[in-house]
Amino acid sequence: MGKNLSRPACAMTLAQTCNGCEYRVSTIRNADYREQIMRMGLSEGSRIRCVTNIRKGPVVVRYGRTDLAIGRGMAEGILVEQLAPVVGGSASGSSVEGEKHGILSPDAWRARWRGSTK
Amino acid sequence: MASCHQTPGGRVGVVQPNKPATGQKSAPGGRTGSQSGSGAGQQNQPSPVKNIILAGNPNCGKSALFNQLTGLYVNVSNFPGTTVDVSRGMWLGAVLTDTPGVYGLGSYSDEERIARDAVFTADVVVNVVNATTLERDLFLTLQLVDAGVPLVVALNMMDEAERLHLRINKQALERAIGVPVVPIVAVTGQGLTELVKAVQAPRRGLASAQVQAAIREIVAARGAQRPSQLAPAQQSIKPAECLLIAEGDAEVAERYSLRPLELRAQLYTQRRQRADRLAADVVTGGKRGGFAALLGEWAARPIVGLPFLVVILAALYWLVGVVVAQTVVGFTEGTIMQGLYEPVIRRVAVALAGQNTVLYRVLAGEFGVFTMTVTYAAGLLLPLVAGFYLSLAILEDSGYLPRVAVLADRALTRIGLNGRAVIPMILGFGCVTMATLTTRVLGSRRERTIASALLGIAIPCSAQLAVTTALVTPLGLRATVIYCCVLFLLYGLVGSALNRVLPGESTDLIIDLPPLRLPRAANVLKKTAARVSNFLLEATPIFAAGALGVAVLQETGILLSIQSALAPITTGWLQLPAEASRAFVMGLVRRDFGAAGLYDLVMTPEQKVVAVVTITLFVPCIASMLVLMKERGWREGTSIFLGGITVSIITGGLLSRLLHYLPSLI
Repeated sequence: MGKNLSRPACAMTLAQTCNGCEYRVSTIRNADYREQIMRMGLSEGSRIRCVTNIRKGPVVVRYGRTDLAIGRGMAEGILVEQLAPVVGGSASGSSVEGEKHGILSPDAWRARWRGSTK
Repeated sequence: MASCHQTPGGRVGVVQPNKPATGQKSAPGGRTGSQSGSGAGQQNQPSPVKNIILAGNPNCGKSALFNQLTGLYVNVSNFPGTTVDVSRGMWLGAVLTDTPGVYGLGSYSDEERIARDAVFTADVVVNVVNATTLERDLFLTLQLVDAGVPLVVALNMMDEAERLHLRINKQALERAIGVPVVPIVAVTGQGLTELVKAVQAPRRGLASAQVQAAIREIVAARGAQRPSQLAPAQQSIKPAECLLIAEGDAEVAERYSLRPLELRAQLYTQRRQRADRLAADVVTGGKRGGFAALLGEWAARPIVGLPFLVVILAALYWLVGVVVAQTVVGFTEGTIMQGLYEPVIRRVAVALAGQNTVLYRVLAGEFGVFTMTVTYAAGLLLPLVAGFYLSLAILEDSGYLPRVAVLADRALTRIGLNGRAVIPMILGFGCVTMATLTTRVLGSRRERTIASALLGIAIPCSAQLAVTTALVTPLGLRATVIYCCVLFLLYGLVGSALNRVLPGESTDLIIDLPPLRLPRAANVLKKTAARVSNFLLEATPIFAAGALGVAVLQETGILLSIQSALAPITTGWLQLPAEASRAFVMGLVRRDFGAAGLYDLVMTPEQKVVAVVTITLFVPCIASMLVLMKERGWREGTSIFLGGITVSIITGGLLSRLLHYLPSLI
């Protein structure tokens, strides 16, 4: 961090995102991939939420009502900036879904579990 | 096709003949590039439509709409990439074409080329759009608008949009793109009457100024070409083709000996921004999905998703391996076929041919055309294949398979595939032939080769699984586990070996996860019925011919000499009874037929497992070999064929020795 001052301090790749956090896509390095996912609704500047980041596996991101799974290699070529900062280790803000459906979303579980262990 | 009169389209089609059907033939072909750039819609004279194309993003319901409109049935699933080829039917007296789903027009993949070329030939394009993901789908819509094709937008899945409280301002959308927009629900047929009206009056939308300029530039370049460069068959260039050339499509440019422009990045960015703005303007409201959305989210997370997957696999095993393979087959094969049907046939055969004559043995003997063939096809295969296809159809319709793709991605990247390959692999458990066709959804040639080889070698198809299940499950859970482990191990070994050997790079996973839905009973049953009857129609004649062939071989004594020639392999290496070689000969005809040949051999449990493993790995059936040769070329096809035989024999022998030295395994 801070190595490249022209980028925001929190620049990271999509492969480093955390479940439930929100980001803005800043750069898609590979031109082929950029055009391909642009057609699927994801482009530089898009606001996304990381739904699942499987260790050494794909990353599932959500934008609008689309859930898109992106392989590790491609995710490593996508730079993002974090939008909702992580506070106290748990996802905060609008991204945590409530209990209105009777069952909790994975992120709500995580937040609750983290809260109870502290 | 006869049933198309039951659809709304058919009804309107009946009134149609009062429209002039002559003198219009030259109209579509006569369109030249010079008329195109304006983007001001060609006003709608009611001309009879000749070629209607359904185009849209993957999984937006094109096939469901196609089925509604034509009364035909093409495969409908809830995952992107179900349609890999075009289907044609009649609607409104025109040819209606269902195309593979694409996110845009271009040449990234074979499916895209198919869809692109279909759009070029279209007199009307019906752009099917998923109302719940409008922002994403509008990219293709705007590209079709830029392409200047006569267009109608069918706003599908309005029921789902309503459930999500999404309100879409249809008028605003129509104004913004200059094309009729019709809200529909393809699966129930809602809104189709309006769609019929709209298709009679399609419009070219308002292309962006830059696209118009680019198209003018290309038309001018075309006009400046020397006559020798004008291919005689392609005198005029269509605006859609101009757009693709402007977006750098070298393939299309070559057809007209033009140089592609390099405007893709620029045009795509503009179009994406326009789509985003448009969606923000016309869509309001919306709430989070309910229980299904949460379940879908959980199902793609390993911590919950993997146990969930195990539960689903266990349920499938119970349904097919226990209920169908033992209870149902016991009844259909044992009680009905062997108890009631075969004695009757034998009596008839005796009356016709006399006791134990050659003709009697051919008709009703051990391999009798009317005894073994019918008993296997109707008593054994039919219930099991129906069970497999039913489970598959439920899985396909639920939208669960793309989640499996996410979970399996990490493992599949080790064998040079990505998660997307899960779909052909799972379909392979239905029919390897069909699955080999769907390997087209994979991103690179290398992945297609690996997936086809794995399908040909290590994935048993439903018919074969049927016989295998009937042979192995009665031996107990351990035998089943050994069978699965051996296949799984080989799958990994063959895959990683190919991954090492084949040159090039595999592509990364990129798949859109559709919402989980409760499978629609009607679609599941229709799909199962279509596949089962397809299977019976295809398998029964081959079975009968195979049975006849084997009976002839046996009567002439050739079978015995083959048996003794193969004896070193069957009895020596595989440690099976000599008659087992007959099954391998039969296995060349169809894999399930081969396994069926094992069915009434007297063998020890160990021998049964070895024989079943060997026959599973053995060559695929003739139909899938033909598809394999067609898709992958004869060299790759032959290598897979020979590789399969070698792998199966080596594995069978090793397993036989393993089971011999560790008898407690079974």
